[in-house]
Amino acid sequence: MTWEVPTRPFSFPAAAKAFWRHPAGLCATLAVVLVVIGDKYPLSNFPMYSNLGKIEDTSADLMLVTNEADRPLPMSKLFNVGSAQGKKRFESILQKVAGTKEYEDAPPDKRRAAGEAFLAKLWEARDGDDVEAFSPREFRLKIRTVAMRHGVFSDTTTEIATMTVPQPQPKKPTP
Amino acid sequence: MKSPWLTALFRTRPMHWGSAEMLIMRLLFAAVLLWAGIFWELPEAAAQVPKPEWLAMMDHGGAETMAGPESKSSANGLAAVVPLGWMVDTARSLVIQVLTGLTLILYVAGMAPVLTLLPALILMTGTGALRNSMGDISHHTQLVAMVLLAQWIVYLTAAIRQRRERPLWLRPAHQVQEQAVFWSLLTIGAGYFASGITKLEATDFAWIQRVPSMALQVMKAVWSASYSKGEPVSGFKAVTVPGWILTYPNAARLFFGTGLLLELLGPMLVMGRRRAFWTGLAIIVMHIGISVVMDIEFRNHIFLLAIFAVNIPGLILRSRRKAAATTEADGGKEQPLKTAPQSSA
Repeated sequence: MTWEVPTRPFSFPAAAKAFWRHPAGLCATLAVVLVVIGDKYPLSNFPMYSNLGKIEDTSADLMLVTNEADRPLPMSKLFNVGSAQGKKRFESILQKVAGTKEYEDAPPDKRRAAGEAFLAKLWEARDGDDVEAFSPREFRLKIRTVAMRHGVFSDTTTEIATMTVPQPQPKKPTP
Repeated sequence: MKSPWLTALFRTRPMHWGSAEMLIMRLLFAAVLLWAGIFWELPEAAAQVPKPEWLAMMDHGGAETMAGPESKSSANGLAAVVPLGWMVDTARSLVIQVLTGLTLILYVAGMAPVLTLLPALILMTGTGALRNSMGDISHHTQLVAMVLLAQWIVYLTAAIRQRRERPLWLRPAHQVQEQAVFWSLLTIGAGYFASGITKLEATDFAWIQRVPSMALQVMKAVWSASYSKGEPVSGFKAVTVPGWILTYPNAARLFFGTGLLLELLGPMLVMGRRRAFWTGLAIIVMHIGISVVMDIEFRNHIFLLAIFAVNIPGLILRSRRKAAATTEADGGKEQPLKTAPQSSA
């Protein structure tokens, strides 16, 4: 396959034809189409780590679920949902309930409602044996925010919602 | 006026593959589809993904639904167009799984790919769309789905063009198989290039300038993995690496900027086999680096690059073929080793 830089005088149709005929041009065109369409399965523009904040004012939120003693529980093992996935799902619920994905901007009651709805979904998807192995009495949904603002580093954790874990009924003694 | 430098930079080499190496590519790609691509086991919640809006409107006699924000659909991609909830049970069915495996064996053998790729294509795009409609979008399987879709379109186009001389259920010509591999590489390259330009577009071309804030993203990725798995965090990843990024921002810009550059070099994957090899290998190294530093793995992307771009079995087959051709050209005689200058006496 031979390809040459279009000769002068510059002609737009000739340049467009040369671009289109070049495999890399075709590849770039498909890439632009993906960017325009965005994240619509099976297509994607792969926006991971694209929206980096400015170093003067940047933050990152993390989700964790703890027991009543504030000890983090392994989310993937207990609920089949990782921390990053869980946070996105919680944000999706928050968006529906409070109209915002930012938990800091949501009114406390709506934030709690979204958190409780999220914990209820986790409870539905739980792995019974693993939950029993950890024997929690309470699930606490928390968001940890690590931020750098104008050179000041901060690390805060906010409790969003709690859920009392239904305890298994004690087995009746056999007569 | 011609610019020899630019011409050399953009010069492409014809890309051809042998039948045996393309068979290995199809075999490995089918394995990726079966073991890492299709979501065979989705949670029940996936079946409750809201109906596509057009369908909900039809249920309401064509009137717009009075949906409040809390019931707004989160259906993504294909799930926003076609009702897919039924696919959760279908994908779990052993019969369907075996049938898909059998059709993929036929695809590997090169038999009627328009038909034999179809079950995998439907299951992959359907279950993937359901998975991404559950409130979070994962980016681990889209590239596989896009390559699958690209291959299927290549086979379909060829089948339509050659419908007279080569019916749909026959094996496509060698040239069509080559086009399928070429379009697989083109799709992979486009995926990486799209990721690169999305980064530039989202930050007003200041992505590299903002790399130091990646320190928080590294911390976030490491702690997220810890909260997911319940394992203690590595001090090196959670403290030392972010510390380095903040202490040596320009070195970090160089490191992560190389990653961005590699993404933007994605189109090199279709500019000749040698360039595809080196570009593919470099991007694989980038993924391994990200996995070490940030605990984020893109195994499917590595598999695709290894299968179609690096293509080690193809290299081995080509070197053997070259060696055989050289031996044949030499008339099968072994040449004396030129270890010392031959005396002319």
